[in-house]
Amino acid sequence: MSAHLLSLIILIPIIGSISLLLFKERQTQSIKNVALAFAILQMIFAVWLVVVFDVNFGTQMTDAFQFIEKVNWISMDVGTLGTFNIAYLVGVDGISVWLVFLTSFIMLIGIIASWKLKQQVHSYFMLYLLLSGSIVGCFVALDFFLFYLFFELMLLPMFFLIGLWGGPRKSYASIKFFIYTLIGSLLILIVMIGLYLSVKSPDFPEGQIVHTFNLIHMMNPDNFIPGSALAMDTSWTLFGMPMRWIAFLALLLGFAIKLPVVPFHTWLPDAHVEASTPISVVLAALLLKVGGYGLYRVAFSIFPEAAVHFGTMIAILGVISILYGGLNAMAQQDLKRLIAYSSVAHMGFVLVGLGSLTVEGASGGVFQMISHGLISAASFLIVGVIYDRTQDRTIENFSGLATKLPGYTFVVVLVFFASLGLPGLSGFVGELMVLMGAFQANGGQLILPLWIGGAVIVGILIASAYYLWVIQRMFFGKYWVREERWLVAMKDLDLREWILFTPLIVGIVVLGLYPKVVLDAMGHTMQLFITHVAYYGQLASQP
Amino acid sequence: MDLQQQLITIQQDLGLISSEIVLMVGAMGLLIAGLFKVPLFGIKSMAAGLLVLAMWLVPTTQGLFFDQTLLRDDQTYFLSHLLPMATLVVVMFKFQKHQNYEFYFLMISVLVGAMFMLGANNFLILYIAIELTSYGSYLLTGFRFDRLGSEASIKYLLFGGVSSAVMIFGISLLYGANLSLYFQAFHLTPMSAIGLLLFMVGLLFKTSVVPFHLWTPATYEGAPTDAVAFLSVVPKIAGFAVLYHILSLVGHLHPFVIDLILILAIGSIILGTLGALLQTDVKRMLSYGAIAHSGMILPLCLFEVALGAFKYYVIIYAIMNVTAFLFIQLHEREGNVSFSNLAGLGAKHPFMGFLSVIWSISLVGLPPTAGFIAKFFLFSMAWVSYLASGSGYWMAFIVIGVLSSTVALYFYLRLPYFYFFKPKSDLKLTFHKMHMLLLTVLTISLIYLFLQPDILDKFAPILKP
Repeated sequence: MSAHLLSLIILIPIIGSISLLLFKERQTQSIKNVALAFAILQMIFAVWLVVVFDVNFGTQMTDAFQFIEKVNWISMDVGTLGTFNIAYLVGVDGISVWLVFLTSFIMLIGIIASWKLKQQVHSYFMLYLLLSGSIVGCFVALDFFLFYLFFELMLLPMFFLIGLWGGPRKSYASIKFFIYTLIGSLLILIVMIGLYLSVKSPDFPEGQIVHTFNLIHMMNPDNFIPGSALAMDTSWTLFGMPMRWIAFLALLLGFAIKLPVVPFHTWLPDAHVEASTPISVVLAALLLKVGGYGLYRVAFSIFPEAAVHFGTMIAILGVISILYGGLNAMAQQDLKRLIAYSSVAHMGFVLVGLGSLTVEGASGGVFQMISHGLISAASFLIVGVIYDRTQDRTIENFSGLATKLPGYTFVVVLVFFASLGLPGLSGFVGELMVLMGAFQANGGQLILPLWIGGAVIVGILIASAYYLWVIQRMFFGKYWVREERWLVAMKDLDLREWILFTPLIVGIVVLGLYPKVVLDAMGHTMQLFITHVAYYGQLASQP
Repeated sequence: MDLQQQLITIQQDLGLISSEIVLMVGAMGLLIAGLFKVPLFGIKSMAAGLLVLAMWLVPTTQGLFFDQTLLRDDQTYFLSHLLPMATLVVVMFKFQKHQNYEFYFLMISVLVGAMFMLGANNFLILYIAIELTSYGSYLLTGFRFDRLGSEASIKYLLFGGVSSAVMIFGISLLYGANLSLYFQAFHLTPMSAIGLLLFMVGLLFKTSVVPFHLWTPATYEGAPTDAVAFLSVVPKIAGFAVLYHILSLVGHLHPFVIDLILILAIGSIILGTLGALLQTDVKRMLSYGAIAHSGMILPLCLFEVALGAFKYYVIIYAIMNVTAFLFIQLHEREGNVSFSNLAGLGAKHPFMGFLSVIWSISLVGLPPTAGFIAKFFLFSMAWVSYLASGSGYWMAFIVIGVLSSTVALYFYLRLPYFYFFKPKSDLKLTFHKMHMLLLTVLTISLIYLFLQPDILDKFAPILKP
């Protein structure tokens, strides 16, 4: 059974989504129970996956994948285009295994967070489970076509989940989200076809050219057909740049919109603010990670020399995101918008980490993705708590909540401190490692200017400023809320909310105190990844 | 060849056009049945039976027949099934006031013209076939007999007449240059090149490529919806098939011609997507979408190698369009459907809304629908052509074609958007079970063709020489 573990993790929510068709609209409680059951089942398999995962597997980037499953899916003859070979190919390495785990964990949390949903429960959970399946699929796909398929399949349920169950400007936000992300994914599509036509499968004898979408084959520059548009020694240029650089930039832009990177981030605050709480959680904790994961899996691994060339630029983009996102967050009146902008800032760390191209920096970037997955989920749930009680989330409208809601305040302080990078909590580890990477990359072949590290530190300071300011304004001082009627509703966390927060807080603390759990498992993969990028990056720079 | 030999040839080859003969005779039969006041259901069943018979009778022979005027090959074989199939679905649309025996008589005669277009190997035969499709189309457009319909019909007729005149002028130049009307006699000389370009005007008009698209929005808006579904599929695909056939005969095209075709294609995509943005009428929106799709199909006619991609695109295009128009026709009560008519229906008919999401995103070209596969092959083909020729126009086509999907997403998604996101309306609509089934089958086939696109190849038989 463990041979089909990944397929099970993808298929369980999708089967769940289809099985919900058997229920009638009014059986809301049964629908919720079934959805929960499927999410728990998926979670069990995800835990199993992490347990049986071998951390020291593989000797190089291209053979470090485990639990590989391959089924030929589409194979058709299209004239001189050759044969289209599209395979269902899945597998995990030390990075994606954690993202799969994070996905099933957050999706489970999201179902509990949606427990009180009243309207159109049926279609909500069908879309939700479909979304869950496609996110996992994206993290485990090793065939570019399959990856792209899941990447786009995510958009549609998300579009409806924001647009049907969101706030007042939900339709605007959902369309904006859809169109922005679609532009990114279409750029990826163009590169995907170009890569397909440039790569031949090594599984066939010499001389026989069979194109492939296999991402693992694409990572090995020896599999590129000599003279093809995207081969290492390409003579093709576009706008005066080598074709490979253009392709890398297109991928970068595609994933940067998803991540999001300033200045392509404007869909994010709108989508977050309008989406309902559980959807914001999924959006922040998982969908943004797809962008970072795509950079790691596709852009950097396939175009290592372009990654080396543009490394500094990527780190600078990350710094801009950190500073701009942080300053914007500081200016927000709406608590949810503040957290949305802080997400932009946190994703900047991922970019700086990846751009540094050091083991510490890149591991820090990925660790930051996982830690932000937990922290942002908790942050949006925090907003959800206050919004459920008052239908309001303006920071100014509350004061001194600590006296009235001590449990809630404890959670908020802990989560916000984790987010601003207090040592001992998970946010600190990721940020520290990114910083180490950024300073280490100054010198040698990878040249990040020293001021990048300095600017990152300023970014961390800004984060402390706005989080502490929020805590001070909302939770300290004299107890006061804007409307009389809210006084009745202001109760401390109930059992369901404690169930939501406890695992997230445990995760944040465990990752903060003992990051080895995750770092060990991905350290080996990261080492292979950096070696791969550095080796081929160096190879290309030699004349 | 003396008369007797000619008669013998005709007698021998007559079996090869049996499906066309059945359709022609059957169309007459429809007229006679109409005189005897056969009810509409009987007429429709008769037409459906005819179409099934015609598909069954398509010959599995290939080669040139009728003194080389008629060609049969893989493509004609497959399109001779596709076009009657599409017509069959249109016949199964919901009952409406304008439908009568004359309507279906005209529809089937247009189909006969289209089927002759597919196989024509002689400019004169081709011209007659094109005129046969055109006359019927002009009449079908005006079948609602109201102001909009008549306007559309006249517009279509005037544009059609002019383009037909230009086309026959092109044919006369071609005859002058080559001293023959057979396709294979074509030699590339300056005069025949001009003749060919003029001739293409007629085909580009049929396929509504910019700048010959002007009739399209008015016709789609004014014509009865089932007629639009028919016109947007049958004559258009036949037009593209002819274009494909002729361009492949010319062989190595001058780069200038390729660039010209790409510019027309890019122009259609841009104009179609931008034009659709602000439409309030669903059919008008789809008409601009159809112009954009024409821009997508046009480059597929350029190379022999594109056969796979061409085949997939037209088959998927046919399914998508017929589905979309069936959906709209089911929502019609009197006159056209505007987006605001559909507001809030999703609460009462969630399944219908779900189907609309599927065909809409298929028209945009997103997974998991067949529309994505169609576009995917198209852009792969374009990449190959770019790599082979290094022409910047191909890259421009790829980038503009791919990015136009984002704009397309905005206007195609408006229908599901109004269906689900707008406040509830008190409009009462009931759908017949049979039509729901038909719509579901069509929509499911869009998903199925995404999962198993190779299925289309598996059904193709090996043709006898």
